[in-house]
This record gives sequence, structure tokens and C-alpha cells, in this order.
Amino acid sequence: MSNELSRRDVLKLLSIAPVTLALDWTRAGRWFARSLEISNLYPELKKENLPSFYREILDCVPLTCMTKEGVLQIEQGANAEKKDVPIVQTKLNKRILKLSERNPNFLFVADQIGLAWHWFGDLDPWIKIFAPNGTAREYVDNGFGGGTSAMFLVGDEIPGNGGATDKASIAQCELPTNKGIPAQSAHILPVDRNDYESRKQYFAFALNELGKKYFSENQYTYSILQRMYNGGPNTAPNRQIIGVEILGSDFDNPKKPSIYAENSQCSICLHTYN
Amino acid sequence: MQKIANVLSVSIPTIKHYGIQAAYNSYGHQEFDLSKGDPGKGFTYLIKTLLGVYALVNKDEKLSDLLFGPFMTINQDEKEAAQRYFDFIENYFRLIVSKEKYDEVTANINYQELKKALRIIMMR
Repeated sequence: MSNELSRRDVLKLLSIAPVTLALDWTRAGRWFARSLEISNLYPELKKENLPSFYREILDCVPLTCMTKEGVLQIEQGANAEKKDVPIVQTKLNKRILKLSERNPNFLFVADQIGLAWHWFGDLDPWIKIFAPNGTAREYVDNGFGGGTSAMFLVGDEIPGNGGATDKASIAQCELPTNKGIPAQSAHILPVDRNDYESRKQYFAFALNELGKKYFSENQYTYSILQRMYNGGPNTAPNRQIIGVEILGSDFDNPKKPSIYAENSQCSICLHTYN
Repeated sequence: MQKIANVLSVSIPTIKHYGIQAAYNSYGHQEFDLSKGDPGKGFTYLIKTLLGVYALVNKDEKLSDLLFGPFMTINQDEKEAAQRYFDFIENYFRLIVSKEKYDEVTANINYQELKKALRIIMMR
């Protein structure tokens, strides 16, 4: 068999080459633009073109950042001065950080980290027992209603001024290790794989279906949820999910006083947009 | 609304700090534990939608890379990737709720109007 290219092969290559080159130059151009920080190539959405519902929420978003050690800070004032949000560490987090000094199994397995939102609940007598005044200190001292934990607590108040004993806005309730590695969090029980085998776990099936549609085989990354059900030793969401506990309950119920209602509460804008 | 804004202001730096690909690695508690109802599928969908909107409005490149980057196809087109993010989270929401719930939530959060605004920038 000859190693030489046939005329047909050459023609075939020539027909592909301009397309390939064009594609590569487009990619190279984008990479170059990005590397020089010439522009953000994502489309720009102007706030004034958004429906008022979205505009009003964005107007209320306080500007925040995270230190390299994993502490949330809020930026305030004309000079965007940074200050830590109130830190009200849970007993569980303190204990787990202590345990992790001898046993790293209490720390996150860091190949993929996720985020989970929870609600705390606001029905009587639950709320009266655990957080009658709605302060971060109460939620933490009462172990989030039973010796559990979450990295952040989120309430209705405007962040920036209140402390741990004021009505809650944003508080950080768990700290990572001094190397910035999060410790067990999120109070989610290990998954029940029977739910998947009996096809009850419709969230994982939905992700399976969309995964096939949106990602090519070599690009596809299984989500944490799918991996939980796909065998392997790790079924502990607490070692890869950061928890955000939100005060209140029943956020989807249109019969409850809606947290979506426009002008429900938002009086200052801490965030300046471009 | 301040509560929703506060959720965003906690979630955004967390996503950026820990490199979370939030389209498929941010969840409501109930997604792991079927006996739970928190914080509501509609609420979770709203937060994911707002994350995308926030990234585009604020031209936040790091957040955009984490949200939209996984949806980049061989064309390497950022607009297309952003569009695919919004499609993905909408389709996921469709798959996990009834038609009635989908209609109710999307009406509550004025999603059709948002879609129009997104369509305009995607066409430019």
C-alpha cells in the first residue's frame, strides 16, 4: 500500500483546509482578544431592557466578594470598602474543622463542588422555638433547628449594617480550613440509590436526558447529582455541596405573601452598574 | 425581593470562588432528598435564571465562563453558549414540573418578557 497521497486525498484536504483555518483563526482571535482582555465576548444585556421584575432585583443585589480563605465580604460606600459579613460559626462546623485536623475525610472532595439552596421554614411553633427574633445568632445557637449547619444564612434584611443579633440579612455560619478547604456542610443526607433504580429520582433522569442533548460525548461532565447515583464510593453530598439556608418557606406558593412581589422590600442600591 | 437579591449576593461569589458550574451543579435541597420540598423548583429555576442575567448585565466574565462555558460548542461562540445555558435550565425546569406549574412559575417571574430581551441580544 502506497503512503503517497492520491490526487483525491489532496483535493479533499484542500476543501477542508480553508474551513479549518477559518475556524482556527476565529478561535485564535477569540483567545487573543481574551488574553489581552480586549473585550468580554459574551453578549451584553442592558439593565434598562429587562422586565421591571428583574431590574428591581438586580438593583437590590449588594456587591460582595470572597477572600482567598473563603470568607464572604460586602463592599460598601463610595470607596467600595470591604468588610466581612457577620460570622456566626456553627458548633458543628467548629467540631468538624477540629476533627478534620486528624481525619481529612471530613473535608470536601474537591474535583467538583456544588451549591444547594434550602429554606428554613417559618411555621409555628417551629419558628418560635428556634428563631423567635429571626437573628443569625438564634439560628446558629439552635443548630439550624437541630444540630445541622449551612455555610450561609440569608434573610430579608438589607446587608451591611446589622450584626449577628439583629434581624438576619446575610451571615456566614461555616468557615473553611485555614487553607481554604470547606469542611462537611449542607446537611443533605446520603442519597438513596433505590430512588434511582426505581426511577423515582426524576431530577437525575432529567439531567441524563439533557446531558445527551446538550453535550457531546467527549465534552460531557456528569453533574454531582448524577454521579451520586452512578455508583462509586462517594454518596455523601455534604462533602461537595455548599449549603445556603434561606429564611422562610414555601417560596413557590402563590397563596403565600410572595417574595417575588415587586417593591416587597428593597430600599437601597448598594451596587453601581456600568 | 431583598431576600432574592441576598441569595444572589451569596451565591455569585461562592460560584466564582469554588468554580461551580451552576447550570448543573446548583440545586434545591429536594433534588437530593425527594422527601423535602425546599426551596421550591420554581425558586431554584428563578435563581439560576437570575445568575445568567446578572452575568450578562454586569459583564462578569468569570461568572459567564462558569455558567455559559460548559455550553460552548465547536464554534466557540459566546452568544450561542449563553443562549444554550438559558435553554438548558428552562428545559430542565420543564422536565421536572407539570405544564401547569411551568406556566404558573414562568408567568410569576415574567419569563416571556425576559426571553424577548434575551432574544434581541442574541440576534445582534
